[in-house]
Amino acid sequence: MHDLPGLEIANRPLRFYWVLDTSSSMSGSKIGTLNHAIREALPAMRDAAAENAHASVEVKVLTFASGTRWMTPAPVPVETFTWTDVSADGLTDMGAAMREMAKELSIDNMPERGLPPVVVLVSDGQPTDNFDGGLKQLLEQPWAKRAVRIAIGIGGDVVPDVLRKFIGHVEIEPLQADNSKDLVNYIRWVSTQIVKAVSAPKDQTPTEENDTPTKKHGLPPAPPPVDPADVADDVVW
Amino acid sequence: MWSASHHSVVGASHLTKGVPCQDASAAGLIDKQGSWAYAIVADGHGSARHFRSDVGARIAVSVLQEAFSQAYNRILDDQSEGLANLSVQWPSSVAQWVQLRWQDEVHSHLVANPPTSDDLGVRRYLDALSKTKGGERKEAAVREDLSRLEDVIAKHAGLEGLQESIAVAAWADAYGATLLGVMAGPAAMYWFQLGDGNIGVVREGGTDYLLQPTDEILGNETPSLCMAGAVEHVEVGGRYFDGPYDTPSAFVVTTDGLPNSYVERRGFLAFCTDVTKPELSDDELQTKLPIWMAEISRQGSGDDISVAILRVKPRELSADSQLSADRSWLLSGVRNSFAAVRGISVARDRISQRCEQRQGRLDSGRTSLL
Repeated sequence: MHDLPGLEIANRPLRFYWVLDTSSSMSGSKIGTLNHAIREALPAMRDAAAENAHASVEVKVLTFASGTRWMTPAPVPVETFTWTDVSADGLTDMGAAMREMAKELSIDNMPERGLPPVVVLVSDGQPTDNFDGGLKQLLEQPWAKRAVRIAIGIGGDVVPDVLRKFIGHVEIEPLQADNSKDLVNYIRWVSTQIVKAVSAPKDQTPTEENDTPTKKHGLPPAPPPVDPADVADDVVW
Repeated sequence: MWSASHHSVVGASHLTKGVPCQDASAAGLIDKQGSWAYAIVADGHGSARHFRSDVGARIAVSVLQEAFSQAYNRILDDQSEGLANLSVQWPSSVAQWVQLRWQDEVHSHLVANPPTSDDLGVRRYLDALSKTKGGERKEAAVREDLSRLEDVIAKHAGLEGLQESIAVAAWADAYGATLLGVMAGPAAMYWFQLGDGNIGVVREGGTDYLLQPTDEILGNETPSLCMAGAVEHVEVGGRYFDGPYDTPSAFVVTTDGLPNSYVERRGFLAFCTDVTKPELSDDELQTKLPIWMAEISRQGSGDDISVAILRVKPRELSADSQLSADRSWLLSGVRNSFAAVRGISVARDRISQRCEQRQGRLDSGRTSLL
């Protein structure tokens, strides 16, 4: 109950999706680093989310290998979200992941007054199913078109053009993690800077310079630079 | 017949950052009798690129006011001819007229206030660009535009030459804003909407959107006056009220910061009903509305909020005056060829009801109906 006109008032939801490749090729140090990176980034992610009291960040995780699996049935508030390690086994059904995200980002499933969702695709290899068909289904969804889509490629077997297609923005390149330090840094950057940028008020970033409906959230900030010195003692994928 | 009120508040999230309100609003009576009134809001985009969108929003409101004023004059001319031609009174071409007029006013503002690299808004924009990937190139391009502009200003002592040399297209984005409004009369309403925000219509039977929200407005994306193809995204229209029970008792026009604060659509519609209740006097509304809006922003979206409201003034009439008013309404329906048939039918029913009620009161000893 409150004394204000109208009914229940609340800040705006921001849905953050991890879409993670858990195929067999991710076994070993890659999946270990991924688990570590996401878990370690959580406190900073919560802090970033807390900087804007008018956005509620909710997290959901989709893994894909031979088929897809949601780690939780519903988005979890970042304040209470905890990480459960994932293991690697199976193929790379990235197309299936795109179709699953299409369902997730459908109009009926998303909160109407939500902020643009963030979708982060992490993969180390080539899709083993119909990726283009799945991506087409995804990008037919209005919420998917408005989502901030980021891709992190791990190691030398990733196909950059596949990740570029997913991102769908000429000025945003996939992030390439060739070692564990890179992956940790990129995971942290996405968990903090991208969350801050999308949840921030409209007055934060420039908008795109084309004749489409003006995107108030604008381009994401630049990712952290890679320091070659950090690579010296690290495992290279 | 109408009372009008409006207010804009800076968003709670902007207050902490010292960002000025990017919204603008206006509401008022068009004729002395208050038979015609307008309510308008506009929302400047507010991001670093749109560094003058507060100005753009104010210009937008003023332009739509002008459009409504011209429409009112056409309505008077139309009625004096005994006609009722909506497409003449409020043509679809008004969308293009509004955008071109807005561009003209933006141009005038640019000429009078050319952006320079010393402007705070320009500096914020350049700073934000520098932080994006590939931003150095864009920053350099903007600096070049500014330098070119400074050269033009230095060369042209006369205003005319300067006006011809400043291209609005290069700077229109800086002024980008949405715009929506409604003009209402005794028997008709006219609307204009470009971009996000909502218009609530309150009637005896309930409250609903004038224009249902669409998928075009999701996740902070919105069409804008600064887009070259903005006209394609404008909703403009008008219609006559279909009898007294179709006649709205109020309109509530808001920028998106308000509906985005409510968990559900019906929460926003309940806001429209609550702020237009007859028992809330105009003075109370003027006092409470700013407080409510600031708190709704604080608890909700954090965004700037503008609200413009039209309410039918409550009538205190005796039964005879009510009959007289209904007879007048009936005659205006006859003159209006568009609504005449329906007007006669509904008015006849209503007069009949009133007569029965009056007879019933006379029978019971009561002599007046308030």
